[in-house]
Amino acid sequence: MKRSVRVYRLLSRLYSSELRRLHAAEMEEAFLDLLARESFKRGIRGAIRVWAGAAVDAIRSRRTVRDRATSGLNLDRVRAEVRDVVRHLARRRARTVSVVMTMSVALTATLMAMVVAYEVTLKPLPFRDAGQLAIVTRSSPAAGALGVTLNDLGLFVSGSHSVQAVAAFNDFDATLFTGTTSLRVPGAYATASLSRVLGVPPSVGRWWSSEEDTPDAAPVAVLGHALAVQLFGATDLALSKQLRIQDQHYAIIGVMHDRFTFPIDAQFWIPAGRQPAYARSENLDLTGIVRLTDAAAWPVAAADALAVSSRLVRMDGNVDVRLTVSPLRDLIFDSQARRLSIPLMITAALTLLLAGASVANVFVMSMAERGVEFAVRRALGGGAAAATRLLVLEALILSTVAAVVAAVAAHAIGTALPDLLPLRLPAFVLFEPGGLLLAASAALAAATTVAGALIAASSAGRTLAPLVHTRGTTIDWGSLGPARVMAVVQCATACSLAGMAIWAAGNFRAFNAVDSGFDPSTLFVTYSLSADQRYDNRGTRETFLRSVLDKVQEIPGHLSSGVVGRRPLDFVQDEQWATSHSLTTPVRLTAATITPGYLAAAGIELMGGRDVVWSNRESDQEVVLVSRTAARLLWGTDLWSGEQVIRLSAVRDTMSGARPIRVIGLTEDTHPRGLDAPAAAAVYRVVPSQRWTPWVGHLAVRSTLPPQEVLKHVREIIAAHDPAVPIYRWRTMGELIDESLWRSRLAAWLLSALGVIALVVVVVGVHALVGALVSSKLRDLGIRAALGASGMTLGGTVAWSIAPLVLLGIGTGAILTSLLNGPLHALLPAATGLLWSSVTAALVLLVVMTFACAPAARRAARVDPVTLLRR
Amino acid sequence: MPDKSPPCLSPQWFQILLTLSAGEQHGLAIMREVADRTEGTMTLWPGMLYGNLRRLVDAGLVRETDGPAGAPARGGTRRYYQITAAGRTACTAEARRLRRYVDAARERRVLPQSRP
Repeated sequence: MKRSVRVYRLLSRLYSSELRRLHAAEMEEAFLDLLARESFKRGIRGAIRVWAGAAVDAIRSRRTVRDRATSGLNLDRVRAEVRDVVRHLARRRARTVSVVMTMSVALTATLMAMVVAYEVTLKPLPFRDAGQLAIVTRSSPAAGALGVTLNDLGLFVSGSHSVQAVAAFNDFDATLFTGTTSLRVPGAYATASLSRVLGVPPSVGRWWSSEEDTPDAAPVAVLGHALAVQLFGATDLALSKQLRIQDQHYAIIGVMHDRFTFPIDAQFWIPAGRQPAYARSENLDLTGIVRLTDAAAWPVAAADALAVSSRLVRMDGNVDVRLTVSPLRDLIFDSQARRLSIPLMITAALTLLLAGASVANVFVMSMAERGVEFAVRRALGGGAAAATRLLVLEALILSTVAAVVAAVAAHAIGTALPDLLPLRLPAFVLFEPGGLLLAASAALAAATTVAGALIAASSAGRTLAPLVHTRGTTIDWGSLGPARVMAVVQCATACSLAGMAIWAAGNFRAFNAVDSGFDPSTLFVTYSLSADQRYDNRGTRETFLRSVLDKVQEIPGHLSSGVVGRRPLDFVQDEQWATSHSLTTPVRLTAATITPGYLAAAGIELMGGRDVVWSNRESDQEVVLVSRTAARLLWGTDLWSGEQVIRLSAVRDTMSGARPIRVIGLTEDTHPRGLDAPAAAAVYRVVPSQRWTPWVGHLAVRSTLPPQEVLKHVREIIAAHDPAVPIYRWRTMGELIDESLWRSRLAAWLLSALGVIALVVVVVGVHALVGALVSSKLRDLGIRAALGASGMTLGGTVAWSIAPLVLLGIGTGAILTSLLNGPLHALLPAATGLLWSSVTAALVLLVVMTFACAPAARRAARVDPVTLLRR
Repeated sequence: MPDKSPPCLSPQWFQILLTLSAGEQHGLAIMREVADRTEGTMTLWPGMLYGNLRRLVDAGLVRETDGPAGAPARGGTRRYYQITAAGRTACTAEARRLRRYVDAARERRVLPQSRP
């Protein structure tokens, strides 16, 4: 029987604590009575029945108690508890504000990261079956992505079974004249099929037909919704009106709906067939867009593109050419912007984790401080469940307030973000969080804070241990044990985030201080000779070039001017070059084809030899200048000695026996790929005019006049020579440098901001934790003080208790940062020094932790044993 | 018309109230009497018994008492329970409800007619 009693007592642990507290002895008596009666009546079968029945009874009674707790919702009790919690939060204003701020800052960061990631990578594009839309471009390993010609598209469509419809377009900025004023508006010329391929018809009027897409047809245009409203007051009023675009009057035949923008931010569309250069076989300005037969046709389309590439290689004899098919999303959001969103999400998630751990610590601290209150509640029959309920309620109220603050902040940031980013974004990209994301973030906040509350509640009973232990020079953490793990997690995450922030900020400062090698005041103006058939002749193009450059020299304050084939920081091309001694080991150089005057105009310093002169261009021999890095690669020294080099890029050159090209000068290094990229090994080619005269030229002008004045003069000069030649894309070198840095700048800014947030959040968390530790051990510290311990000793005891955790966290954080090396380099490819950043972050964190622990250590040092013992 | 009749009692509650209608009892006695009355078909297991007694007390159908004078208290561990007026009303209503079912069963000759 005694054994049965022992076993039943074990079994009775399954009963709810309330039932055991009130009826343990009676239940035991009842069970033994039952066991005796059943055993007497049915023998062993009766005994088994009683044991099994008791086990089922225990489980069922526990469930019944839980059901009562959850189903029997007592509104009066809930109301009273809410009132109680609100009163408590109001009394602890500083703590409430710190928790709300911690959570809302982390939540805002997470919310914005989610919004950016959703808009850039997940949000469906606003076109019919956008998954079937593909962009067709030419590309080559050396030149990167290029446009396509109509020939390319024709070949692709005729040889492909995966294409349903095809269209082509090109975006450009144009001046629109309305009465006495004019405005510069982004637009596009496109084929008649574009509207059909995208699956988006105009909301008012119609798109143009293929008959209207010819040079002789009457000019027609379709406007964007915003532009139509701006110019004519309403979309209906725009129809049949005339609008002057550049120097031509167009009849408006349609208006698109308000959210339609394609490509990027175009606001008007005109037929491509009216552009004289449109059908020219070498015109690579076009971008092709095709609608595939279905979403599963991608592999077929890729194979078709490969087959067409082979045909193009056979036709052109150029091994570099390749036709590629890529999703439309790649055109709208470049891959770098999409790559940015993933590390951003990881960083934001880490910040939220950190905030969650900090909030948990704040709750643990709260539990330690409210130990007596909860003991009284338990004594009055409140139970552990009631304490947990109160904490969860508190967490829910705090997280709701934090979520509201975060939603308001995210909305404000989302509204301002497009203006802050130096980036052209389509109108359908909105950085304002929608209802679903707000709900998700509120759920995240609730989950994080409730988790913190539950962790704190798990230590509720144990914080009441009356006897506090100390061992040696540290404090026994006792009931605060779980919080130690959180402290390590916090320190590790904060160290990692701070390391990334220091790394990003340091590198950004470093490459911001790099000399680009260009003069930032140089104005680049792009012109295009595609407006008239007469420029098909190379001689007329050269005449235009010389005439314009001669006139530009007459601009007041003119210092120098020249033309380059590809504008730096916009588009650069690599080619294979070698010396006559190293033909088998060519080097990759960044090539730019230039005219005399360009080097001086761009501010590229000459280090040796001489600058190019017009006689070089008039002769039939190509000459080049190379940069110092290129010279080092070619000859192992950056001292100019008048060597010769050989260009190996085109297969034709090597097959016909590449001719050596004379190097006439050596230049200082430049950064044509951006300041965040290393200095380029550059070669400046001066190609004879009978072999190269640009269709699209980038005129570089250096002058003492302000850029806008220079632009006005250049515009007048070109208009005087030929009013039909459009000029567009004018930028100073300084503006180009700024634009090239936006991704790095944004990444550095975001990482730095998140690093600072992480440090603030970890200070809140660790301050709360050490505060809780000291609060729970005040009596012990008082006894030690009474026994003669000095304030310094007591403060040191607290410091030594937290130090191992901080050090462990910092070590883990440093390892974590080194693991993030790969994703970080995707953000800032040229950045270095992650190790030193980790070390600096560790030191910063140590200092920050010292400040976080200082108030609690001071409180421990000032413990008054008399007051404590009296209490 | 809304149904104003009292809610049905669970079989356990009815049996406990029926037991207590004869006078105040402690839990073990209730368990034994119910087992005897139902000929072993209903066992009030300890958790079930004391859990239901707590709920009956909460519902105001039963109250705890000090027990009859001279009753064995087993070292103060035994609690005695007494039916309240509300408990008696609920028990009576349940008994009437059950009687209606029995009458209906007799009318349909599922049960033999009662002797006069």
